[in-house]
Amino acid sequence: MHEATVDHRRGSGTWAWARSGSWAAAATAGWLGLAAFGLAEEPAKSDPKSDAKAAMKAEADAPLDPAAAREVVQAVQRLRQAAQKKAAKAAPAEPPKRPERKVVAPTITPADLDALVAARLAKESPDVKPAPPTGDLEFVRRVYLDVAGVAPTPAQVREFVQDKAADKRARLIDELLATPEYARNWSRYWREVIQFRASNANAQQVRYDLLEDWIADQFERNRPWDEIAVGLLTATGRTDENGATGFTAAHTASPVQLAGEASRVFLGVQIQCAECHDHKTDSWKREQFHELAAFFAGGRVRRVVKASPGVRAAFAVEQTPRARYAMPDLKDPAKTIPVKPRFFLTSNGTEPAAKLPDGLSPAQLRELAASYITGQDNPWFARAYVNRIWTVLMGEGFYELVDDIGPEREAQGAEILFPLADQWREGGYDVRWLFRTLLNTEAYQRRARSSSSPAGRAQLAAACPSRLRADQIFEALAVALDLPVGGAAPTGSPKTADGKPLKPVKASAGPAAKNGKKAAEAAGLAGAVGKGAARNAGLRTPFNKLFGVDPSTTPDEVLGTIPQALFLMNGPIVHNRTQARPGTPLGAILARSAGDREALDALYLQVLSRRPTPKEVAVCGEYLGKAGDRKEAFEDVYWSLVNSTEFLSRR
Amino acid sequence: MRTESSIVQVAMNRHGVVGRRGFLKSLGLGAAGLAAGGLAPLGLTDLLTLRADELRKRQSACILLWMSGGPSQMETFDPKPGTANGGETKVVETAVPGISIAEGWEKTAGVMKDVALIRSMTNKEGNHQRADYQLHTGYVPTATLKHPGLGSIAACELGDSGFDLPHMVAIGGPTVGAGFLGAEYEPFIVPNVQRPPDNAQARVPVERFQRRLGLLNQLEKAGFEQAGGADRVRDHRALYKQTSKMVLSPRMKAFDLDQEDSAIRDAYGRTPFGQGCLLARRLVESGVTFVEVRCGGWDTHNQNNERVGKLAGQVDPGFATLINDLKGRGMLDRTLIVWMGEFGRTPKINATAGRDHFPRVFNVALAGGGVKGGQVVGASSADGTEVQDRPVTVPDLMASICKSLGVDAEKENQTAIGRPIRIVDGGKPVAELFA
Repeated sequence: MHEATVDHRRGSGTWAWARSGSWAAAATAGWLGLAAFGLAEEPAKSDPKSDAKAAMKAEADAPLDPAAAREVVQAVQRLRQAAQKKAAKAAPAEPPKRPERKVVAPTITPADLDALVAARLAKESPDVKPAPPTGDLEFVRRVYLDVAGVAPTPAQVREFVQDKAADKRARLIDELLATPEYARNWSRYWREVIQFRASNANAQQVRYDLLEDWIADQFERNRPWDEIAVGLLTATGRTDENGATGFTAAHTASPVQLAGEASRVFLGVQIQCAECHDHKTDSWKREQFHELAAFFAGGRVRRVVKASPGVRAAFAVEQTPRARYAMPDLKDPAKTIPVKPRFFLTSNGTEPAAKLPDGLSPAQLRELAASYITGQDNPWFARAYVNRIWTVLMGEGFYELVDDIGPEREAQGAEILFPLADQWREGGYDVRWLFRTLLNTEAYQRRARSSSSPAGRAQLAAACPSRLRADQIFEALAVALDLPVGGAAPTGSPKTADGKPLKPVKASAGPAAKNGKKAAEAAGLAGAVGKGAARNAGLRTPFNKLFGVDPSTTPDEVLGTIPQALFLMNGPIVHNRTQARPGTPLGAILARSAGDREALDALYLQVLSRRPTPKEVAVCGEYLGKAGDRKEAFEDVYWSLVNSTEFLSRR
Repeated sequence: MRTESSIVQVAMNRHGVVGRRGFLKSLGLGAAGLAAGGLAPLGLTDLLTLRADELRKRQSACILLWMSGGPSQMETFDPKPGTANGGETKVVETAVPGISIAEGWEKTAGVMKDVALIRSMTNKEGNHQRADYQLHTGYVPTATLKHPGLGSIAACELGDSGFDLPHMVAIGGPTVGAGFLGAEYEPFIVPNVQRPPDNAQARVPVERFQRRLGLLNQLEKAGFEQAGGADRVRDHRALYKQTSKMVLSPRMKAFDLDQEDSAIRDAYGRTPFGQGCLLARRLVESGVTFVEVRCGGWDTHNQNNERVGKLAGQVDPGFATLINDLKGRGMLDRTLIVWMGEFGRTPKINATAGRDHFPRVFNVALAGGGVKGGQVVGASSADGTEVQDRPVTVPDLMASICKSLGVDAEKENQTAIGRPIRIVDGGKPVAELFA
């Protein structure tokens, strides 16, 4: 990377530090064989330039004469003394005491939530009859996709439907929440949330695969959401060793970008609009944005291993010992105005947050920012998360956008969201508890309705169908077309924590392709292969490139693209696997089915996890009747189901 | 009339933000208001048809020749013979007296009457990815907001909604996408000019393909549309209609270079870039609004002259033949060709006979699209380290491209949170180009 210019927009703190004479000290220290780090702390108040000049001169004059050596030693001493003096003056600053986390177990139940929903419906849409509860078939596909990110296999569907226990839905919810696939599904969701807005386009520097692994590990251990957020906001170390650094690396440690994204992702507040001017419609002031950015000064992404033949470059997220933050002066572009960190949201929403003492280190500031963002004295952290999860599970939430909430926006249904989020916050941000509570509500288990029916138009009266995310479509294709699982192939059916399949699974094994580019070409995904080869050779990465959508997009704005439609219409995978011949799912179905109806049932179960409706049976019957070639006609039905809206949707 | 145009305006803005609900809200109707008012629900696809097509039926087109890695100005169109920084590079005279360019670009020299050179481009960004983004969008990259690339802007502003090919095609690999303008304006990528685009051909005979589409439609009507999925089905159906129209379109033969004479294929050069230029011409001829042809390898930190020489061997015939070919077909006046990369290269030659990143001074070449050829705009200093005359910024260049295409650079699009973003922020078109 050859940076020809210094970009003042990012890391002005780092820049100030790097310029303030540390190179001189480092040069001297390096020559004396001292660890450069010991001295590179702070610029000396005495004239570092002349000191350094003396040292450099001495370095050049070899062999060393005693006078010059003395001069060098004195120079180093002066630097040391200055650093000590400075350190003594700025006595280790004490960050303000932040409240300890207290845990009060939440008491709100799914039934309580349903009562709140019913009360709102009665008030807002008294004439609307909510959609009836889902049948087992609708429910089983919905909950598998929402929790584990995979479609259920025909065997899993059959087993659930045949189960006569009254509590089978609650049990399945618990079982799915205990699978590694649950953790993986939601870690993919959050990886996408971060990746889609990344400002660092250098693929080498950000290990999204490790970021995803790290988040999956947290969800699997059910670490509270605040701890996960703190982990992401404060992580340091090599990006190829600590996946949590991905958040900071995704923004090249830029204070401005990190402030904007930390606020958007974790608080749902888009304060970054105030970067250049006071917010046009909201009350955020330009200073407030930069006061938040000041918490993130002093970080950097540094290359710690240079690439060489057989060795990949490595990068690390680091905190410098000290940093200053300044915002551009709008009146004079050549000037900057120093800004001290201060958090913009307060518990009561009126008084400004406490001022901070000077002299806090970037690491301390970063921890403080994480604490302000996730602390129990800030209600928006919980509301942002709860509203987001609610929106994904129900297809609509309490705000128009999941990442534009906060005190400046009005919630539709605050009487539901706020008590739920408040209890979840006081309960210590238990991620599984929230899923379990929401998934067990009647509100979640209602049938889908479109906007052509009153229940579809009224908030909370029906499930809103939404498009599946790329990873879910990839997994659904694996089930529908019986593709090989494992490796970089689809994850496959949920397994229990010890790796045993959760439910009967039938999956054909097959080798995952080794050459990612070739494999992508063969799969009709060549256009989706990005620059910087995918680390996991295989189809998931190019598939995600082709089908990926920013998860913060409002569900009803997620439209498909032409290349996606082409992939499903004409792509080799769908084409080859929908053939009726030995070794394909359809070949097997036709071979074992007694008649057309049985084969049709099996096909619907394979692709859409349900039985065909009488109308669909009639349409297919007519099609089969007119067709000259029965096998071909079945292939056409199979093709149509994989290309259907329903296949790409959660309903 | 007044109401009508305001509806159209809202509908056109929906890509950013005003989605189904936002749209209703902007009419003063929330979801509840809609239910109470008993208004027929509008799908996004309905909104699309509200678009005023006459606004989009302009014939202008743009072909961007993207030199990925940052082309050296000294070895392309701003040589400095006889100076230390200029190195060994020799110059060739062009068809325009007084304008000379680097050797290796003889064919381009021959069409210089149609080419305008800007030798005073200046910028601050020296990082590939960030500069690539900036030179495509006119904005520096930021988190939380993804700006649309030029091609997507042109597609959105100029593309005819009834057209059956994609409005924006990128040849030779992915490029900056549509950002907040949305999926509809994403570039259609042709990774390899020698192969037809991915999955663009039906796998079954046309009759059967159409039969399948009919069956799909019937099954959707009988199934998901009845079971709460009507909104999703409507959007999906519109997409499939558009996509199948493309698959079956006679215009798809534009992608088939075998339809061209061997002589013209030779003239463009039998290289991926040369053939990419030919494909670009065929696509524009078929009505595509914006084509980007990408050429990699310009990041010449070592052996600069040798490597640029090889690259010029591909780009020079492609560029010059494209100009001639468009002119011969009467298409040059309405087709802007832009030759550029993300920045220039250091005037000082480094220890490995290379040049490093240099955004402070670089050059861009433009042809067609109403641009007055045979001229040089601005100048770099004798040693190449400074802009000496008439600095042109990235927004100035963007505004000039907009002017050529007839796109209103001042127009504000809205992002998902309703933040207005100008197509070009702050630049002024370079007047000399249109004199």
